[in-house]
Amino acid sequence: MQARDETRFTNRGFTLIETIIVLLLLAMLLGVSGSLFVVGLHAWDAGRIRAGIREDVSYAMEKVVRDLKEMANGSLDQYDPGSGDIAHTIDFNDLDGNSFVFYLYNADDSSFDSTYSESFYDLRKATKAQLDAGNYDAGILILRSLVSPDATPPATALTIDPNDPNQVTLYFVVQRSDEIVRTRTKVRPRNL
Amino acid sequence: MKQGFTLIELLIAIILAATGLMVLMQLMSIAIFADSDLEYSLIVLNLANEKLEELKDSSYSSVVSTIESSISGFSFVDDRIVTVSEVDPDLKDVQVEVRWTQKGGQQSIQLRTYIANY
Repeated sequence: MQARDETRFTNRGFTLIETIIVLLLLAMLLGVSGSLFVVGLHAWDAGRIRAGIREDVSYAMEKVVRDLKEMANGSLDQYDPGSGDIAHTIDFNDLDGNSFVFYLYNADDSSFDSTYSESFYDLRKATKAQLDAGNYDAGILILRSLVSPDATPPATALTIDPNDPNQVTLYFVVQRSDEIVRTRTKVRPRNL
Repeated sequence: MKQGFTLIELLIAIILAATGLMVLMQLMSIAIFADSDLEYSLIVLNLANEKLEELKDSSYSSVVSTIESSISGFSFVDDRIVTVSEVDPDLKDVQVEVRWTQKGGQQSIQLRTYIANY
């Protein structure tokens, strides 16, 4: 009889109480780590988007700064399609004598819209000849989804300093999802 | 010895699992913060470059030491310091330092160039 009791004792599993305690602890642990994980995932996602923006912005900065730094002498201007200068465009000649334009593009605009009424714009680079021929969408993409810091579209993406025509301010505010990254720099073309 | 786990054994297992999970979470947050580090360095590098370009564009005599205690639009930046020393009658050593605060405390980057009077 005693031997049988002993066997029963060593073979015994959890009591109900023990199982409940363990389940409760596990549930608490999973609850906490699960919610942390969800928060972490959101942060991760935001980080991934920001990393993408950062990469694009740094490419665009490098591209525009290099082009403008080494442009040919004496032709830094805003693009003029025949009906006056367009803001946030930069018209310059490279050392081979080719004319290029950096400009803001949105597919919903059929040509330059001086008020920039869309909610975001892409920065593009086209040859002046392409734009003169009316090919508004011919430019290659430099940076996408530029927004303005204050509601109206790209207020200060590319500006030639009015007090100093030798200096260009690049102010890129890029928004994707809810993530906004802003960077600013200036460039002085070396040959002017 | 057909006995299952004891409560103690289970608790130990749970604690081990929890530690493992915490380490994973930690790694995740490290990765996320490393990312924002990079973002700040990109921005301040551009701001330092901006100052250098401004100086290259100004007349030789107006290349002087300055301190900007804030930069509008970039509130995380503490200051931008330009230190100029004339190494030669017509040559200035220009150093731009941008300092900013991030969770780890204050950080800074420096860019340095020479500007000649020509």
